Amino acid sequence: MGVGKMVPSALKYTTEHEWVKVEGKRVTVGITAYAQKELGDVVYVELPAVGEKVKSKASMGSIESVKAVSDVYAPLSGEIIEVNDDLQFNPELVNQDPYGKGWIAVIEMADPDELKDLLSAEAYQKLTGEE
Amino acid sequence: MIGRLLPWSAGTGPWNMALDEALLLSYEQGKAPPTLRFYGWEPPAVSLGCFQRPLSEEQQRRCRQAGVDWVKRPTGGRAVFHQDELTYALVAGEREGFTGPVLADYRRIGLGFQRGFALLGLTVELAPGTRGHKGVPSQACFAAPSWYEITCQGRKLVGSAQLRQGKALLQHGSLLLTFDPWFWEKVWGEASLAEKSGGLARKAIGLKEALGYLPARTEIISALCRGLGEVLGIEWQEGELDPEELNLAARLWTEKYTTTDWNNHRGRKGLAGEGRNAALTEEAKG
Repeated sequence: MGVGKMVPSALKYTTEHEWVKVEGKRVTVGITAYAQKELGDVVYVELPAVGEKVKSKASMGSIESVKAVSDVYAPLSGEIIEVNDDLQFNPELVNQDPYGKGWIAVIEMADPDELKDLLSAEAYQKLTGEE
Repeated sequence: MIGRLLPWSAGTGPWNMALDEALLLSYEQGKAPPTLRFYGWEPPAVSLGCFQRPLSEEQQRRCRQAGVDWVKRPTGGRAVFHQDELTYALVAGEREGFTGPVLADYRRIGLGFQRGFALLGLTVELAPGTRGHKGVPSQACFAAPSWYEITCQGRKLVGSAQLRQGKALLQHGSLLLTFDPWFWEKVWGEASLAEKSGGLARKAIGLKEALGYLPARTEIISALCRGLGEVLGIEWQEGELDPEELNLAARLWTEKYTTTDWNNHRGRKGLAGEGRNAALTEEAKG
């Protein structure tokens, strides 16, 4: 079964519906198309702070959608080196372009061993039934 | 499935929020069943959504003068003035089939309350939301219904908001018993609301006006529990707080909900150094 545009094959995923783009130690993180659809219209994104240390599977930020506040989890441990400030004024980018302009933060990965805990696109697709 | 119904009580804003979050943490850690509680606010208070702008100094001054407390909720949404109302907190999660999407879970809970109101003899509707709507005209929750909120005669009767954490959710809801716009006109001071003060009264409705009389509190709670129980498949049995939950609530009350760090800052990161309750969550894990 092929992996369609809802689950880009070049990315890694978590069971908490974050996507991860790995470029050396630099890891870009966002939430998946499936997650944004589940949440509904995003109205606010609370970003982590640059310099903040995050721990794998611990909350690193929050998203408010349809009056529900939900956690965004760090897929890997490390330090936040960049955040998407555009989301402060345009949180709807998370809905409109989850794998592009809706990215949330960049983490400098501390432990590459944690990469093995991430899901492939195929495995994530199975988890969500997305095409 | 058995759920726990806690006895009605009236508390301060910070205590109410501390207790609700303690119930969520307790459930999330698998230490408590799904839990429902109804409560009141003493003194009257305004609660703000987690990501709303905090009260201005002028609004704080006017609140103090009017004897109105304020607190920031852990849940989302907009400002609610709690006086003549019945508030509920529902804690449940994946074990009860709340696996998302957010809107589906709102709808399911909304259908439960709709059934409960029917048992009281009141026909209510679940409001259709607007997808892609950007910007809100007012900071007041009752100025507009959101997805699957309960309306009667086209006016909002119950306002609600959620916090989703791990595989658990806390839903807050405020059932207006009577609606009096005095707080919004005299204390809140939002220009658009003051100009259209009649407007808010046309958008919100209290149970007394909707039904033509006000049933006893126990009767309302009983009907809403039955309705919610039927739709969610939960039999609510009266229960008590666990001492551990009480301790956790006391800590949250002291270290979070009574602090200016939390109440006067936007978002969940107001707590110095700790982020989102990291220490408390660890403690709850035991």
